Amino acid sequence: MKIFRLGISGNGEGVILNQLLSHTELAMKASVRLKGIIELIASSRWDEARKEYDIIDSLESEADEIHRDTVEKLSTGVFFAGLGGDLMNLAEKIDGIADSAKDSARTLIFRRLEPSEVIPLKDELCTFLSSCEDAVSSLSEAVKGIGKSRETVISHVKETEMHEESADETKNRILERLYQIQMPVLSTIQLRDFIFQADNVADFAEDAGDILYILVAKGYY
Amino acid sequence: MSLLPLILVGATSFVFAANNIGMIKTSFQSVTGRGQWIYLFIAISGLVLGFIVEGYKLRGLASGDVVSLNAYEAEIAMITVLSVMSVFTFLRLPASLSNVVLGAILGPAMALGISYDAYRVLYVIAAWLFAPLTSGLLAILLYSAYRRIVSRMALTSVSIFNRVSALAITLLSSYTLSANNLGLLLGFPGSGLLIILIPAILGVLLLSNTVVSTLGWRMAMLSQTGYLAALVSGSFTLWLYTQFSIPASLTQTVVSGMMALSIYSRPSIVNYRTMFELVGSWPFFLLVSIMVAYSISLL
Repeated sequence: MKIFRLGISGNGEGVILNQLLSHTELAMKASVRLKGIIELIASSRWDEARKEYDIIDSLESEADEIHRDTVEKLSTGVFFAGLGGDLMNLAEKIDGIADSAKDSARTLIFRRLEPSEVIPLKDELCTFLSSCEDAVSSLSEAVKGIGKSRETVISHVKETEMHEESADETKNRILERLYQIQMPVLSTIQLRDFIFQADNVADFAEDAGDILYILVAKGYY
Repeated sequence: MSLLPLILVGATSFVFAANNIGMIKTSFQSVTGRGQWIYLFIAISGLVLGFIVEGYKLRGLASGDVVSLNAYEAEIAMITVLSVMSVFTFLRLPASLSNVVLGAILGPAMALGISYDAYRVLYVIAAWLFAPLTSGLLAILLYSAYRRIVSRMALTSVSIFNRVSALAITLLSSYTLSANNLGLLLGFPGSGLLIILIPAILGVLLLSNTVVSTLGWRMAMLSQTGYLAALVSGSFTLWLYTQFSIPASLTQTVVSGMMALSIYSRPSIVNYRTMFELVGSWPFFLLVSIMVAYSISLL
């Protein structure tokens, strides 16, 4: 079995890929819950919204642990030689998704928003968050593609980009609308910060997709 | 029996291994990401196997194929080989034993008026001129084939494939290097299995890191695939030459492969000056060795 420890054989690549997949899944679980918080606030279920935040917080902590473990494995092992640095960057971006989900949820929870302030934007916010979720979901498929084929990776990265663009467009519409609604300035700032931080979810997914392009280029050429 | 020939052969073998294994190690590190004990084990296994199985094919160069030297003249040749190889190893530059040995046996012949087979010398030089072409073309063919194979694989499989290939290719390279170059030492008085192999193994273990550090990243930025293709093409060219008892340089054949691939695959990052210095270094090593051996012979 020593031959495996020396890295001659064995599926260390598979282990790292599974770590990345788990990491992406956790980031996705965290970002999917953002829509729930908006709906709960809009229906005055404040305590439940706080619980949602706690769940996102614990998912982010789990993602952090996986991130640390992945980086450790990449820096001490012989697997994915020559691609280790890029995979570490990929893990960093995936972690950014979970971090952004947590940060945006925290922005909503730190100060109590009135349902009347959220309801006018609710539908568009949900559309925006769906695009963010879709970007992360496509990224997850692209990461799975590392274990399938080059074409799978590339096609899902393209999808990620498409969803990120869609999220950007919706974000601009919501911001335009937000500045027109009469509400306390603090609420406007709070919602604006939430939108920017939630947008980072899609941005990090897109950045992770760019790293996947680099991985494909380096791995196959 | 004098100990001097034994010491000269042993010391040359030590310096050769220290100098030349660096080339293989560079490519190995590029693909696996690090040097490991397993690399040393495989490189040493290749050295031992190559020397035992095919090393005898090159013994003729220094023992009559080109020139017949007596014991004293052979010692002059060995002193030349050892000095030139040591200087270049000290300077952390790869030097080819095949180039140096040919010059070292021609030096005393020229200085002392001993007849030598000029046709055989020209034959070897023509082979050296032809080697970069063979290796370069082969590298391009291998690279294209490899890309076709891996294009259907998952990235995880490509990584495993590269890692396992790197180990197999390390064995192939050290095998051919040993068969072709260490085999040359068998033509000198005092040579023998253990006299050559033990110092060579020590050279790999103790000093092979010195040359690798300067050579590795100065030449070209190739992909893992590129390094593997260049190493296989260089090693295969050297193995072919071994079958015809022609001494050749692994450094030059591998670098030719790298150069061909750098030109073929764009965009490329190539230090052409360093590459040309390495590929076109054989006349330099040949001349330096002839001059050193010639001067010692006159003394």
